[in-house]
Formats: sequence, structure tokens, C-alpha cells
Amino acid sequence: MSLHLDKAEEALLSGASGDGVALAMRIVVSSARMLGADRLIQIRAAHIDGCLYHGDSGVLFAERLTDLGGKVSVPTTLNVGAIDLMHPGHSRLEPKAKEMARRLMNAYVAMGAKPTWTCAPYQAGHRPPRGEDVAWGESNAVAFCNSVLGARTNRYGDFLDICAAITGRAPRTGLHLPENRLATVLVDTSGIPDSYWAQDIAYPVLGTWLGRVIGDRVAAIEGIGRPSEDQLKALGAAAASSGAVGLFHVIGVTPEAPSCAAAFGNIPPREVIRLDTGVLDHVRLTLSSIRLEAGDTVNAVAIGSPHLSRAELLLLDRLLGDRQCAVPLYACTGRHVLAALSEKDLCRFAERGVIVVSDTCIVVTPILPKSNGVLVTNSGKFAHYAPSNTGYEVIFASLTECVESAVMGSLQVAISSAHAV
Amino acid sequence: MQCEIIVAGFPEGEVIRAPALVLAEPISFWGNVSPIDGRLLLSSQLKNRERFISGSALFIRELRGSSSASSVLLELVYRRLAPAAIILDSPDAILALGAIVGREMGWSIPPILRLPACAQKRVPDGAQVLIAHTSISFSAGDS
Repeated sequence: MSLHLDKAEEALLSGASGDGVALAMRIVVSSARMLGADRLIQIRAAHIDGCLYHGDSGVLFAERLTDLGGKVSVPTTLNVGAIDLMHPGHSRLEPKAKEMARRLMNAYVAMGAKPTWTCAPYQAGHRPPRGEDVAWGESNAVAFCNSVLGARTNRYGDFLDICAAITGRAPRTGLHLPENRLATVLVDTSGIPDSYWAQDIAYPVLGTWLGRVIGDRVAAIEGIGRPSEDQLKALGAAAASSGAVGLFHVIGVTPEAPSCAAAFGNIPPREVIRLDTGVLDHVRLTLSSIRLEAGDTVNAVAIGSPHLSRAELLLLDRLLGDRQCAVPLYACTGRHVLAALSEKDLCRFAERGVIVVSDTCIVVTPILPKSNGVLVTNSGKFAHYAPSNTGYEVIFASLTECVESAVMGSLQVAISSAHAV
Repeated sequence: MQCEIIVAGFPEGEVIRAPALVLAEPISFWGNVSPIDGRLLLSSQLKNRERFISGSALFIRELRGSSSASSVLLELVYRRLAPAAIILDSPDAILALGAIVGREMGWSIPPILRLPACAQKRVPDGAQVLIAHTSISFSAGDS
């Protein structure tokens, strides 16, 4: 199949709208050819993950685009950077890297993207309507955008995201096509008691299983009740870090799955998987990189991948009460959440030993003290990436267990989940 | 063996001779590969922990997705620490972007090739690999 460009697209490619647009268009077109797309589609919004510093090459590319006059042509939000711009002291990046990370963030803002600096743009007001084609990067955001909002995006990698935002075009392929959004695998959870889904750990655990087993297929999950938006966020983030999940349906909950028949487009599932608690308990165990006994020392606690919503931060506040943390508790969130808190609220967190991190998070940039210690987290995504990215061993635990462990400085395990540890 | 070209190397038409680094375990470029020095960052149980992918014919049977895989590959390309060739079971749009952007920046990029996992299994780790256009051959290596 060869790629057909219309007249407007040919003009963009030939530099009619400037050299920055032409460069971006060459990259969109190369990607489209590689993917076997027959045409490009117009996208209406973008979320850019390319603003996180991985090295000087990304800065040189972004500055090449700005030097050539590249500007985004659709509403565009930015994912996390490598610096917490609101609390620059948090980052242990060396000065040269910090300077380059800042140059990278500046280049993306100079191209007209909104400095949202969050991996949960969908909770910062960027919510494209159902059926709209967009180009989003950051795997958790992609899973949420497709699954929970019903807008259509592929998993746009760094560089293609900004090129799509500049040109307003993306390859017509993958999850932009309605037929590829239908579920093919049914996940039947009827063998799991309803009480399981009342635990907050249920969603990152289910997501981790989903990513490992389903990969890039589209699953429809039946029988998990009515998860909240934050629970769906945790599910999608875990699924998109343990596997290539870009879209999942929850029957009766997510917009493209009002019924089982709708989720599958009236085609019988190619596969039905019956999940039980034994499988999920095993997955839960594998989210920890080491075994610890209750009472063993831990060195830090981190929550907020994806970034905490306001409700999640308030829940942390309630669970902690007036107590002081014995080890640092990192709470990663977006500046959209901080803007809604008072100076007094933020001081109260600091006084209790909570380190509020915004604009970035603890697995993408060095924030945790250098150590070979143990990190406790309730995030499937942190659990997945922390060992390789931070050097810490990880214990996966519920939010309550995270808070209690931070207060005691040692692993605290709830009785109700003792069978799983 | 015959492979498909996902992204051609740049400069084009070079014959590649490189030692095979065969990864049986799934990897994600972001998280499992250091963009600074090309070292594999894997959990302590895995045998390829601490090996370097730079200059190798890198056979990946299962690539785990991260939307920053392209950034890691571009950085390795920029630092001249990329593999000599990357061989995947199936095309990966995100990883390939690192090479596409590298070519736009005028830097040398490795070819990204497609060879099914079942065919990849015939290549022993450490074998000397010869890649000319779409042909991949190998002979027993030193290790």
C-alpha cells in the first residue's frame, strides 16, 4: 500500500508553510510509510512526551524545530519534564544536565505548547471528546485517552508527537480506525468476589496482568463493578507499562463498551480468559522486586504515577492525619492540582514530611536520595520502573500500607492483604 | 536468512559485520537501556544484565513499549553508541522514530530490520553476523 498525500499535505511537505513544518512533515510521512498507512488524518489536539530530557540529542532536535519556525497547529499540552520547575531544588541532576533539561522544556513552550507538565493531562482540563482524532504521547495518557475518554490516538512516541502537533497530521492507522478499536479478548472476572474490587491495589494489579497477557490486543473486561476515574487511571498506567496496551474497555463503564456486544462489534470474542484471585495474587507478588517481612526497614515511599488527582492528594492528607513521616513520602502531582491548594495546605504536607513533587516524578529524574534502599509504592508504574531507573528495590502496597510504612519507617502490612504477601 | 527493512541504515548500503547480542527476555529501550553508555539495565536475575548494546547486531524477540524508546535510541545514535543493527520480531513505530529523526539530523543510524522471533532463535549469542541489505548470515563467534 502506498501513501497518498492530498494537495495541502504535499504543500506542507514542500515547505509552503515553512521549513519547520516541512521537517515535521517529513517525519510524519516517513512514519506513515513505515506503518503502511494509505493516508494521513487530521488531528485536533496533541499531548507531548518529548519534553523529558534523556540527553542532548532531544534538545538539539527540539531546537532545530524552533530555529526553523516550528509552531504547534492544534491545542497541545506537555507531559513531565526532568525538572520540577516549581521546586527546582528537588532534582539531583548535575548543573549541565539541568540546563539542557530546561532548554528542552523551553523549546517546547516556544513552539506554543501549554506548560502543563503532567502525565495526567486528562485531569488538567485536556479532555478531547469521544471519537476525535488526537496525537498523544505518554503510555498511560494514551490508554486513558482511548479507553476512558473514547478519543482516538495511537501510542505516539517522542518526536512523532510534536511533528503531529506541528503539521496537524498523523498516519491513518491503528487505533484511529474504528475497526481496530473493537475488543477481541474478553476478560471474565466473575470468579473474583466483588470485595476484591473495593481494594485500591486491585486496579494496578489487574492492569499489570492485562499488559503482560494482552500486549497490544484490545481486551474488554467484564465484572469489575464501576471503577472510579482514578482507578481506571491506575489500571491503564499499569497496563501500558507492563505491556503495549493502548486501549481497553470495561463493559458498562467505558464509552465504547456500553454492552459486551458493542465492545466486540457483535463479533464473538476470539479468546475468553477467566481470571481468578490466585492469578492476581501472584501478579501482585511480582510487582515487588524483593520480599520483606512486616516491620523490616524501608527508606522511602512514593505515590503519584500517574500524577495524583486532587481527590487522591486529599485522601493522602486524611490517611496521614496529624502524624509525621519517619521516611520521606514523595507525592507526585501536577501544577493543576497544586494551583487548587492553599499555601497552608502545602505547608502542612511539608511539615509532616511529605515531599510534594510537581512537573516531573521520581522515576524520570533523580529526586530520591542516592541509595540502594527500599521504596514502597502503590503505583504499578513506579513498581515497574523504579528498580532500573532509581536503583531502589520496590515493595508494592496499598495506599494505606504506603502511608503507615512512611509513618513507621518500616513495612506495615494490612491484615486483610496478608495472604498476598 | 532474509529480513525486511523497517528503517534503512544511514549512510545507506553499508555491509554490517557485528557480534550478535541475542535478547531472549523482553526489553524496553526506556528503562532497560542506558542512553548514556548503551548498557543494559536489567533485573539482577537476568543473564544479560550489564552488557552493552553498542556496536552489536541486537536481536530483540520481544520489545516492550515505552513512548520514550525513540529518545533513547536517538541519544545513542548521537553519542555514536547505537547498535550496528537492530533486528525486531515485528515493526515498532516508536523505536524506529529514533532512527528516522537521527537521519533527519544528519547522524549515522543503524538499520532496523524485521526477522521473526522463530528465525532469530537460530542465531547464537556472540555469533559473528553479516548483514547486507536484506540478507542476514552468521558464523560461530569467538565467545
